[in-house]
Amino acid sequence: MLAALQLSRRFTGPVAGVAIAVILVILLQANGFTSTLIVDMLVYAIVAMSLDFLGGYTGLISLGQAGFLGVGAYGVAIAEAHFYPPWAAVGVGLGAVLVLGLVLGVVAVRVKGISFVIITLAMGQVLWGLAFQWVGLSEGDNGIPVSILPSIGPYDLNNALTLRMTVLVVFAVVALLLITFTRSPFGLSLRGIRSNETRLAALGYRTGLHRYLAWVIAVFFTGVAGVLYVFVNGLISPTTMDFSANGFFVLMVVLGGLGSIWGPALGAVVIVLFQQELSIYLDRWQTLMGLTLIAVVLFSPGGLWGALRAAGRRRDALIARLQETS
Amino acid sequence: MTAGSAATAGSPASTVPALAGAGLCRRFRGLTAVDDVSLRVAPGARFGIIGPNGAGKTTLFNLLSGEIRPTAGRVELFGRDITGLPPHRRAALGLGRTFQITRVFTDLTVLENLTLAMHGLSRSKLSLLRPWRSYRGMTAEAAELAGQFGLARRLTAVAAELSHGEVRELEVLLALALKPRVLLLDEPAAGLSPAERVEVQALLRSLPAELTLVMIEHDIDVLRGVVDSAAVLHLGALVAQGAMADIQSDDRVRDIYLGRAVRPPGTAGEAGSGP
Repeated sequence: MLAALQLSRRFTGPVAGVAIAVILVILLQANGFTSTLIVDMLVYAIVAMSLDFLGGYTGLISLGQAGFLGVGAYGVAIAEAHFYPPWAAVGVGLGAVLVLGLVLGVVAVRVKGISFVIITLAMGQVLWGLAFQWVGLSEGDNGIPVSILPSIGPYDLNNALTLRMTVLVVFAVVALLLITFTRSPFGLSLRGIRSNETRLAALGYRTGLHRYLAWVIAVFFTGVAGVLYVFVNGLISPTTMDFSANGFFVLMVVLGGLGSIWGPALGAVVIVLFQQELSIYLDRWQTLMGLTLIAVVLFSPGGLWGALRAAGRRRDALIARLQETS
Repeated sequence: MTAGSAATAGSPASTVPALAGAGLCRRFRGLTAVDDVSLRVAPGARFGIIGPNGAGKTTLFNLLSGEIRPTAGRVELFGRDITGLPPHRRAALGLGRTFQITRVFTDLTVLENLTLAMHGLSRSKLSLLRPWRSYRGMTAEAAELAGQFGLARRLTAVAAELSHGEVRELEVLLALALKPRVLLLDEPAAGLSPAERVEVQALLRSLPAELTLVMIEHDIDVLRGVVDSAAVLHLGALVAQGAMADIQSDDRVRDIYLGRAVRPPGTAGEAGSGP
């Protein structure tokens, strides 16, 4: 028993990771509802993880993240509508979101706490308003379709399977990058900012710069998700950036577990399941989602990921007890 | 009011002071928290700033460390004007500080706390791709520092789980990790039990001799045996300065600050008679 537990401690993480990757690859092979659902989950998970990098680690909760998803998506769509080649359109989308992140970051990192929430909410609403009302550029309510996707040689995103696999790879790269960032000295400094920014400044840190970089990283990756979003859906419209979209992203992070990167990805999976799967069978799916959220917040403040971690700690405690008795 | 009063500690005034304030004032909407305070602290000095609660000690400290800007006056670190520099720049120049209301990173482990401090003055604090644990030199140094003051067994403990005394020690260690030349300590023994006070005093006495210490304290017993000279602050102004022995027998200090007779040496507080 002890040996089995020790084995599980060593291999749970890697085995679960490989198993999930294999399942995803298999499920993504088939056209149809399931693969569409998974692709949506992966795209939203990128946003949720970016939001967590900013909110869970740095302590800056953004209620405007959907706006930056929209900027990435609209960047591609508008560029294509102006007859840019698809790859150039990707460049326009990513460039637009990067420039916007760099500029708005100057404003956003001047404030913290609730002021940050409000200022990002305002930014998100302004971006949504632009998408809705700047009809000459954004086609307003109708949105802009994107029909031609980039390709190079045999690698062609117009092929549905290639596109789905690309989304999976981009998700994995973003996840691993964010995890790497959080484990670096820079990541440690972000946790230090959330814990006690004044103290960190007294230790020689220019904390504003650290918050700014975290912001730019989070905004840029959200823009990356936006580019994938418009390719997957073939359309970007203002609804994608509205207030409830922002709310859903924050829900994903809180439900999954702040400050864990994988947790919010899990949160995205659960929320998308609620939105797209459960809503088929149950009219009151939002009620159930609300109750689930209340239950998680009450019984596992660390979210779903926190509950998993707690189970792991109980196992470790059991191992320690068994080692003592043997 | 003793406008322009100056306090000089340690060696001759001809040497460049480690830390100097000149005509420091800070007003908060009509309230003058610090009123024209000038002081010079010589390199290697052990300098105390004492005064009752509300005397402006912490405000003076915040002026020195850069948390707040003075309304008037100048701050110099080893002869360099640092009045306009933000806290992180002062830290880089060798000015460390601790806080009266303890400020450690409560969500982080002791090792993470100290590693964070170790990276403070290194470019590696902006490194994104390398795990902080792989900076072996830094983490080893952090562990060694913790070992010097009895926190070696607590490296993996989250700071929120530490005892009050351990948190105080960690607080001082965070400042020491930057290898400061001048260390500002804001009531390092506040809220501690008598036994813990003795530990903190021992820790302070064991600090390297070349380190300049400036320490705020409202309890004169804690300073005894740690500082060699002191300045007394009352209602934002300096009223007395000099060697500790003189301060303790100063009539004005007795009246203004203590409000009671100084205890005879034989019955000095238990904290002062520790090992």
